[in-house]
Amino acid sequence: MLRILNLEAGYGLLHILKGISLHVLPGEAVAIIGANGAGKTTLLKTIAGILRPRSGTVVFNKQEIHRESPEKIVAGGCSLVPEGRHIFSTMTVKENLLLGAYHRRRKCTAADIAASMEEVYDLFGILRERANQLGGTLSGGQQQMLAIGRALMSKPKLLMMDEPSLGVAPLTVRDIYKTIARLKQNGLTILLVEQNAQMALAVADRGYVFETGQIVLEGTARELSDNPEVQRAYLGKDYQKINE
Amino acid sequence: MGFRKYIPVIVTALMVVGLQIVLSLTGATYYLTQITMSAYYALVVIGLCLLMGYAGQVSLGHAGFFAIGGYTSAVLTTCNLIAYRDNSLIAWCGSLGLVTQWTDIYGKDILSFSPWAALAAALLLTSLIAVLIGVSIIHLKGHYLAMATLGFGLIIYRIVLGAQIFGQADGISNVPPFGLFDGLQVNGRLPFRTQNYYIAWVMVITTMMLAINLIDSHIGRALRSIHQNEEAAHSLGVNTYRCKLFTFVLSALIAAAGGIFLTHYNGSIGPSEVTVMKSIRYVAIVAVGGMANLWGALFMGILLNFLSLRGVFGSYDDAVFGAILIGIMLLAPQGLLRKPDFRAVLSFLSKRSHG
Ligand SMILES: Nc1ncnc2c1ncn2[C@@H]1O[C@H](COP(=O)(O)OP(=O)(O)OP(=O)(O)O)[C@@H](O)[C@H]1O
Ligand SMILES: [Mg+2]
Repeated sequence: MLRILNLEAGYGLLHILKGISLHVLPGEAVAIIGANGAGKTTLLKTIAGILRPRSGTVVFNKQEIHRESPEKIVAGGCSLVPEGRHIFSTMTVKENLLLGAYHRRRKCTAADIAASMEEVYDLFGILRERANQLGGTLSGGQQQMLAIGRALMSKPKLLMMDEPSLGVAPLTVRDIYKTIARLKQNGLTILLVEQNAQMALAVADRGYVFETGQIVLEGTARELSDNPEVQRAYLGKDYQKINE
Repeated sequence: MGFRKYIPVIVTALMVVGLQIVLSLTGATYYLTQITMSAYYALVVIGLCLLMGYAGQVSLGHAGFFAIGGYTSAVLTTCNLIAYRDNSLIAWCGSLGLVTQWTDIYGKDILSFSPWAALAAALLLTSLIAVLIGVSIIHLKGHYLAMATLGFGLIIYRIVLGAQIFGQADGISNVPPFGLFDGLQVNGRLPFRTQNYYIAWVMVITTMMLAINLIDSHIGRALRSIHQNEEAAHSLGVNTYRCKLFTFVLSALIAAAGGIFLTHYNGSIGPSEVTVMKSIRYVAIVAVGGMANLWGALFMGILLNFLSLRGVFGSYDDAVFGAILIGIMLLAPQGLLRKPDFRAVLSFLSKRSHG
């Protein structure tokens, strides 16, 4: 579904991604974990077309997309839930969701779009209740749900999520991850970036570990959870032991 | 939700009728004339509010579009074609109803294009010019855009002032009334005063409904999303170039329509309508009305133009609008009439009562 080869990208003089290669198979959930500033967000932005890569290729659904505009990439079925959610705070929940379906406005009828909205409401009941409330008045967790719902409104084949647990209360994180698991069961392909490695590896099939713009480790979720390096650096096992 | 957004429309309509009744009962119907003129100016303000408040683009050239509408209509409805009456092209236009014969106030027979034909031509010309300008400047941001539109306004002003066909400093007078249908006509003469008050308001309210629906459409949502968070909008695949261009052209057309009808109402148009100061005045009104607040812009558009037409500001007229603009930019760059956030007020009050 997604295949990335030797991707290099950055901001101005800053060279962030130093030759990333990875792939995501159809129906798979893949997690990317790594410390702050490792370049995880940069990678997702590059795939989404918001950032131009310096070199390397991104192939999505057998098509090279690394030179496409974000519009084309979204329309092609690859959606990003951005880090920090980026809800349109002065628009209602419903309007936020409708914007997610923006690229479908010509191809689909209003009924199709209303049906997608129903699906999102079924996934996140709270959004139905708050449909006419301004996005900015939602709590952090609800905003995260709205951001995911908004991305789903574009009917993606691949959903990329950047730290869905960021700034969300632990109980709500559990809810959100239950929903992610449900989306995966329904056949959606998922690329998930997380610092909360435990959660991410629980839902993912495979994972990659990032460090300073490079992949230092890859494997199945099981292998990564069992790996002592990963346990020490990202799962906080030592820390727990000290606490005990 | 669908119905709720029309409540202000209904309230406005009721207020318009109420005002007319009060003025006629108190015998102050002479105010109606200036309110009618203010309403046509308010059209320009509504269009500009869409552009500034929702598309986030400042135009210092909207008096130019107003003038393109007004002058095109004035030229076409006053040019005397009587000498070419037998020309086959003119005869053909006559058979289509595009030209009409009438008598001006001096009793002279005039054969000119009908106001409807002139309206169509004026709107067509406006959209053409707006598209040409829009395509070349719409990607500009902030003060670059303001400068480009300022340049456009200056060019139109110079053309109007220099060209014989536009009457130079005198402008064009003797513009005939605009017969709409069934005896309704845009006509500034006394017997038509009340009728024209309502004609102008029907246009204003129709334009308001158009604007409200535009904001509620995918174009409006796209514009607002870009305004708020450009990166997020792009990541959702929102491409606003076309939306911005569409809004630019639409607001130019609304301004032109204001120019066309006011010209028929006044029976004349002159270069004072085209000055940069006029453009600045429209921007100031939108700013004071609250930028992204159509009703605020409408209210201020009527109020400030009315006061200005009554001569309340005397010889400081232009200075007042300049001062308003400076004041707003310094003190309340988001605009003065913000939509009150009732929820915030309520929670503030409830906190007060608890604490
Ligand atoms: N817009 C930007 N301009 C310049 N540098 C940036 C920009 N965004 C990020 N960076 C830099 O790029 C590097 C990688 O950032 P990135 O956001 O991709 O990391 P991350 O892995 O997502 O980290 P986190 O877990 O904190 O979200 C950081 O050193 C950061 O300072
Ligand atoms: Mg990040």
